Amino acid sequence: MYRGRFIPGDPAAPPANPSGQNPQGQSRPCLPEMTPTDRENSGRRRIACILVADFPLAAVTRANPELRDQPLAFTRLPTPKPSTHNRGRSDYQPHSELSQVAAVARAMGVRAGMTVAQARALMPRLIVTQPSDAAEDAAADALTDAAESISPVVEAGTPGCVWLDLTGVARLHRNALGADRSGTDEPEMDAEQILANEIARRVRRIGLEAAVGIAANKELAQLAARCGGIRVIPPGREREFLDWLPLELADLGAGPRADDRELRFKRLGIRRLGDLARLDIRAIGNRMGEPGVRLARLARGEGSSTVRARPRPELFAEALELDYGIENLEPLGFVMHTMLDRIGARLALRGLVAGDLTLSLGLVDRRRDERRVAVAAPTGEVRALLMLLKLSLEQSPPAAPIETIRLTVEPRAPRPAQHDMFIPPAPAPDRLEAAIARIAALCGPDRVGTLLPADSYRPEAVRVAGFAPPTASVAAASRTTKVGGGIVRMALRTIRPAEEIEMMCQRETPEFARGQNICARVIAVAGPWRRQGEWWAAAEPADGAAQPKRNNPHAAAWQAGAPAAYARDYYELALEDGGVYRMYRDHHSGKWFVDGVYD
Amino acid sequence: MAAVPQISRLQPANLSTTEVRPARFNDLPESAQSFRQVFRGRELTLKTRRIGSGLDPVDRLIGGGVVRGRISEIVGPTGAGKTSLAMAFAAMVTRDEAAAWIEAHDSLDPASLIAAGVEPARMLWVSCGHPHLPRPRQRSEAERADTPARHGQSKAIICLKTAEWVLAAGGFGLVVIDFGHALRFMPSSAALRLARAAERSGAAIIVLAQQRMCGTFAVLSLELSRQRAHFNRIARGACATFDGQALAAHVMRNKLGGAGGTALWSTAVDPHAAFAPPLEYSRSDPRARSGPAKIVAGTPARVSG
Repeated sequence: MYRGRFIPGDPAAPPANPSGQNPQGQSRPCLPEMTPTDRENSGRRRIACILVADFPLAAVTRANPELRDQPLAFTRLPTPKPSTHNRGRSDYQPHSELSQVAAVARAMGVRAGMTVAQARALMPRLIVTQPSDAAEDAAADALTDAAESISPVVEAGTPGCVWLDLTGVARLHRNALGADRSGTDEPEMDAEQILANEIARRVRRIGLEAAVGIAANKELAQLAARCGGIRVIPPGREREFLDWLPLELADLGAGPRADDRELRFKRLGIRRLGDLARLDIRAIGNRMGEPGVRLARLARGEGSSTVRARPRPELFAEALELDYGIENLEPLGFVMHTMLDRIGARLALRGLVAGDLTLSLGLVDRRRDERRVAVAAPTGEVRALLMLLKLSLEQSPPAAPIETIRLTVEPRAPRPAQHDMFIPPAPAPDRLEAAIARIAALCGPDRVGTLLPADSYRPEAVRVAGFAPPTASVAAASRTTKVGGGIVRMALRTIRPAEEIEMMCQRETPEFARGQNICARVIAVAGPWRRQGEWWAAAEPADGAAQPKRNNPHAAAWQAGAPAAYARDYYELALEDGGVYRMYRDHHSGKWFVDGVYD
Repeated sequence: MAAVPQISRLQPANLSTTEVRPARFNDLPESAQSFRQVFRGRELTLKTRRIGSGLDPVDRLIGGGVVRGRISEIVGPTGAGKTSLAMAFAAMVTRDEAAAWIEAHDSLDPASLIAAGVEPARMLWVSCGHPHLPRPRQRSEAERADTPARHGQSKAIICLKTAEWVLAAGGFGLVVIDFGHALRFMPSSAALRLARAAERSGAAIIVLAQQRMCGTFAVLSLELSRQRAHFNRIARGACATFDGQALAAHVMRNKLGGAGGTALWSTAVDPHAAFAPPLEYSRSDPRARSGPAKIVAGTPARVSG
């Protein structure tokens, strides 16, 4: 039974370049030749398997980089979780058994199944903790992301195991593979070796160490990955590889029946898969049942070469379970920075940038704090994203110390841009996006962008579009705004929302205006100019019921609650204070408002 | 054998024998004039990198326009033409560059912006009117009394912070910061930071405020004032129309020389037909046809101009 990573020094190690001889130099009896169909199938498809040994340990180590190269072990029995008041790890029950042990501790003799007391007798500085589901989910997602950065057809197997279809993928990664290798003797072999190195490098970027195996089908690729490191099984040489593979590396299952099966194989003198492949499969089926047949088929190199890609939600999530609750925002910022770094690496692998963020915080009092942080302009800058999260948390801090953090990022495609030598430099897209994201966090996402008139007859109707400056063109540059030597077009400085004022009139002519910021006599009047519209939006119901008050669909956020229909008489009034104001009288309410000043 | 031409050694006598006299800068070729700023000492601002407004009197007054990489202030009371003048500068910039308009209140009118010739897609608008600030704690009576001033102060600080972020992003030719009446005083440190950011990015900064705030860090302070509002009447008894304003610009401070001058300029609703003499009533005049003259109750109180 396979219980961990294959140790290279083991005499049972298959040769790196299988030659068909055992370690003692004795040649083995020849295996039955592959059928043409087998060879055709095996030569057609190439499957890679990415395998992370001791995945739960690797996931926790990835979430807590300070535990890397530390003697770490998981307990099998649930133990009381350390709390804020009792942060030590000494409250683990001494009689609970270890379920998984890191390589550093294994080297010191600590084994799974030992009690904590026994293990600590061997290694006093052993760190005992529990597996983290959140960390495992995040690591599994990250592993899939790394695989999807190589091939679009990816199948996630058991946690820590991912298959990807490499058929034809080498052409997509010519740059990574270097020069064209068509002139070499074994072009595919070289290309696959480099591709396997590239896969391992990308997995390393997301914080995991993985073994990579490439073969003709999924099972063979997984066996190759179980050997550790990077192993490519060339087409047609699968039998050579399987002949020397120890039986322990095959998946015999778990439990007492699997142990019994292993023992029976050993009693029969079957220690390698090659021994099993030479036996009659029906005889194996009679003695071992279905698991034995499956193992015999595996030993013969038979397996599935179909990678079933499953669509998964396009979200990038990282989660972390803390040993104790975080009460202050500053340490929380450090933790979130690490998580954002990891998500940024995953996004970079896929050539994406971060969109909106969702932060889910588990509090010590079993409540959850969910918040969504809008990112106005997608960005890959971790500092900008961290600042958005910090601003959100500062604005409404969590009600209790934080125990678990889950950060989900919606991926977005980056906006490509290329500058011209002969036009003025435009803002760099990434820096502009980061700046807009920071401004949006401070001022609000509807307060930054391009201000445009809305599609409405209502004078104050405006809308905010995203800021995307077009590239300069000769036509735009030739447009002139100069209309006269000393005259420019007059601008209106609007007051949003319109400010209600008190207007004193004589024979319905404005005479004196008094408001919050205005108190002056009217010295000149232009108008009135009637504007009315959108009455259709607030039409009276046919059944004669009372007219409902509907909000203006064209109004901006700060105009929420404004009635849909409007009927106004607009005036331009020169007041004694020197300003010329645009005011209107609302027909519905009879009130006066000032909505702008000419400036 | 072909004769090899003899190369005579360059003698001082072979050089021009005309006497070299120092010429005036205006007589020098353009390439030599580019070193003009070097001769002025440590002043290294490229005066050729200016943004004009298209207003001849104002451009002549300030030496061609606002200087890139520096702060220029346009101050004056509400209605003095600050927004119109800033939009004129923005219209020149947004023909081929990006610009930003950062305001402390929601006062920018997009229709006026487009009418002024500004390319709206190249204008980044930021309103700091309703910042997402932390929830205010319970305040005392004394603090509540001081709230408007503090609120304005916070808006102005957010405007400055936003301007720094925009300038740090780079690529903007002009950044207009409209404080409105939010800010009465700006610390020297804030003005210094803004000046440094402008210098680094190379963008011209125009600060619109009711009074000077950037102090010595502004290279230009232009004070605007109202002269007269023009109201016109199409015909006797008809509604009056507001045509525009006559304004004045006075240079309070100009580090590059030319302080103290004054220029008159105007803003108009329709610059092509500005300040036309009152027309006789005619049916062909669209202004005579349009407008709800029938609902007018009463006549304008007073019409000047």
